[in-house]
Amino acid sequence: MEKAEKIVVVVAILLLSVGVASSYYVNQIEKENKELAEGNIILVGDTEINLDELFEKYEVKNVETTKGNFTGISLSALINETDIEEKDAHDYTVVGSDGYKQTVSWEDMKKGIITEEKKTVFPHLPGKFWVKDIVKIEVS
Amino acid sequence: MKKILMATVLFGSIWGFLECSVGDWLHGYDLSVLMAVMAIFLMAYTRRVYNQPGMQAGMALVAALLRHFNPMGACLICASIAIFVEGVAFEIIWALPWRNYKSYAMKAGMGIISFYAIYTVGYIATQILTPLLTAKFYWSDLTGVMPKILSHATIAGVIGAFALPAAYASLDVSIKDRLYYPVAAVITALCWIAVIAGI
Repeated sequence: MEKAEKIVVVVAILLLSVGVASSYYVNQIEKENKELAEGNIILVGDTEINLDELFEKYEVKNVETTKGNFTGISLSALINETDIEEKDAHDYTVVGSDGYKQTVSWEDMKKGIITEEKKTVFPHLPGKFWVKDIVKIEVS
Repeated sequence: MKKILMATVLFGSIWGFLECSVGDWLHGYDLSVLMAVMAIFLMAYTRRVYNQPGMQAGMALVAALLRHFNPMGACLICASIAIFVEGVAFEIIWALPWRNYKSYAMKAGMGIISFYAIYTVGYIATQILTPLLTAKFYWSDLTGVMPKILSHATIAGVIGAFALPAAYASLDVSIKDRLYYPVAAVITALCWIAVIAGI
């Protein structure tokens, strides 16, 4: 095997090793978040919100998107369940059970919904901002 | 050159059509990596057959445009950006002189590297460019999603170990010039009609 071939094989093995380590890391995060994910609980800041209770309390909203129609509770209602003050002064990082997270503004939160499947839908934002299996919302 | 331009539009349209149909379906199952694998294979195959640098970036541009015109499906900006960046990344990797080596180890190794890197670069580009174009970019969002990107890229890399040697071993399909242009034009038109009609 020539030198160039050896370099390519070594780089390929290194990349796959990084990938396997990342898969392990994602798996660990999913295990850590399993309790929240299964309990239908979302942690908003320090407050635990029960999604079932939220759906009983608030009116379901319908939003139209390029991916179809979705129904759920307004994300602003979810935030209103907490004692966060000056809501428009904060950014909100929506975190999924696999660690995927997206940060949005209060204006975005007012337009977005959370579905019964624990997925955020922002009709005015690209799909990259939508997070599924939400376990927490970090407030910064 | 005329033949290569036609092939660029044809294969770009096929790629775009696949993105809008199979790609959206796979995205629903969090398997977008398989669509990326198909696209990279298509680029590798066409590069071997036509051996024209720049052609794959052109194909990516056509596919990205087609994806952008699709009235149905997932995030249009994200997908269009990812498709075009994948094409550019392919051109950069294929500019390396690895094809001077004919061994399976080189092809399999480059299959892992190229499929892994092209998928990763495309995904990262959407994570940076989409918020820059539509909202606000946060580094913490990118670092948070990196493990997931690299995890999925492993699948692309493993498939690439077999797909690239296959692309470079595939049989050529030849067609007479008299038929080549009409057939290519019809397939291209069908792809665009299907996508714009939202089929």
